[in-house]
Amino acid sequence: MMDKKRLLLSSLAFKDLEDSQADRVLELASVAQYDAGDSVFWEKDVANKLYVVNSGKVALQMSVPAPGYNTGRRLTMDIITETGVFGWSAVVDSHPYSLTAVCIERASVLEIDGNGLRLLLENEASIGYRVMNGLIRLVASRLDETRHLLMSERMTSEPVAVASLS
Amino acid sequence: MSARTDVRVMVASESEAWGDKLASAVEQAGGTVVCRARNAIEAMARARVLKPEVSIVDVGLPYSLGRDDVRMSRMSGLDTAMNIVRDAPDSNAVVVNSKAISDAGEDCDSTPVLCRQAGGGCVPFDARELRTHGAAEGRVIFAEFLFKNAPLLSCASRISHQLFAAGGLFVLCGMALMMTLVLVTAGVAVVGLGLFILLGAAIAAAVARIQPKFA
Repeated sequence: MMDKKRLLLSSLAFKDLEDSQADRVLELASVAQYDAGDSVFWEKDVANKLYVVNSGKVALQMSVPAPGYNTGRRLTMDIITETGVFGWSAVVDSHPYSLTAVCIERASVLEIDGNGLRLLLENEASIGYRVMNGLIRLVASRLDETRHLLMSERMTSEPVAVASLS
Repeated sequence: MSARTDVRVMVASESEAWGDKLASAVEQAGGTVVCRARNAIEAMARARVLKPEVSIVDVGLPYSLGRDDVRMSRMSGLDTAMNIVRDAPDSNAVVVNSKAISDAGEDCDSTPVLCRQAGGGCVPFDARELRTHGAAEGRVIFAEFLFKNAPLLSCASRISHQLFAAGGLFVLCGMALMMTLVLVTAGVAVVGLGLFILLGAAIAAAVARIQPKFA
């Protein structure tokens, strides 16, 4: 298992922190293990923890309505692997999780208390700036990857649509 | 190898090679592969028509087309498995971690084995178990794909045995040549070669001893 501080400083959200600042964040963190198939949290749950993946894989799934079925269908929006961060809603006050997190292989994660982290970010401007900067980078990278996916799917489906017309 | 059962299995993997390995693991477990699929759309359509009892789905299955430059294009395995069991509640879907497939590598004597993740270990499935081992939530089972060393010899130990045999043969032949008194130089050379091969055999045997075994 990777050292907790090394893991934290390897993640996109916390990589700008200095050693002493990382220690302050780690005071709010604990390590948890999940088996394949376990849900770390559910969509619309109160977001109270931010997670950094140490090992394993976690799928982030979104519920979408499925016509003809009583319950919604779940679509995987992203798969988070080593040093990846998820559950960033916990850093935003009164914001529920927007996705469900399911382990697709046995995972070890660093769980950071959301309330404590928010307080720390409020009270320590330097840590707050660096972590928020990292989180923006994280969200921007997800957005960028989603754009790439959207573009590639459009480029794939266009020739198929044209072929079906001819 | 398990006895052949009548369990009908679909294998869904974008990679032809990994699909072959999964199919081989299914055969090893005693199942019969009734169809293959390369993406999520194909897998869901085939599952609807052919109604396999078990669908083995690579977690990195693309929805339509996987692209190396688009990381998110290969993450429809779990969705596919969930949709298949939703459409056919009496079937099971097994999500296989593709990283496990690539990490497993290949060994000359290895046998592909499908096993379920349990308490940090890996418990091998047989095909009948795949059919009956329904998890509470939607009968989606999470599995690993490992290579099990053949029961008698690992790859390295087999190589070392072959080298020992070849080296021994060379030494004997060399000694026979030396005894002719005419071909002494050639005999010395052959004995030297035999000793060199025996050294290689000893190294292979050492590797076989330290090679981690699948439990």
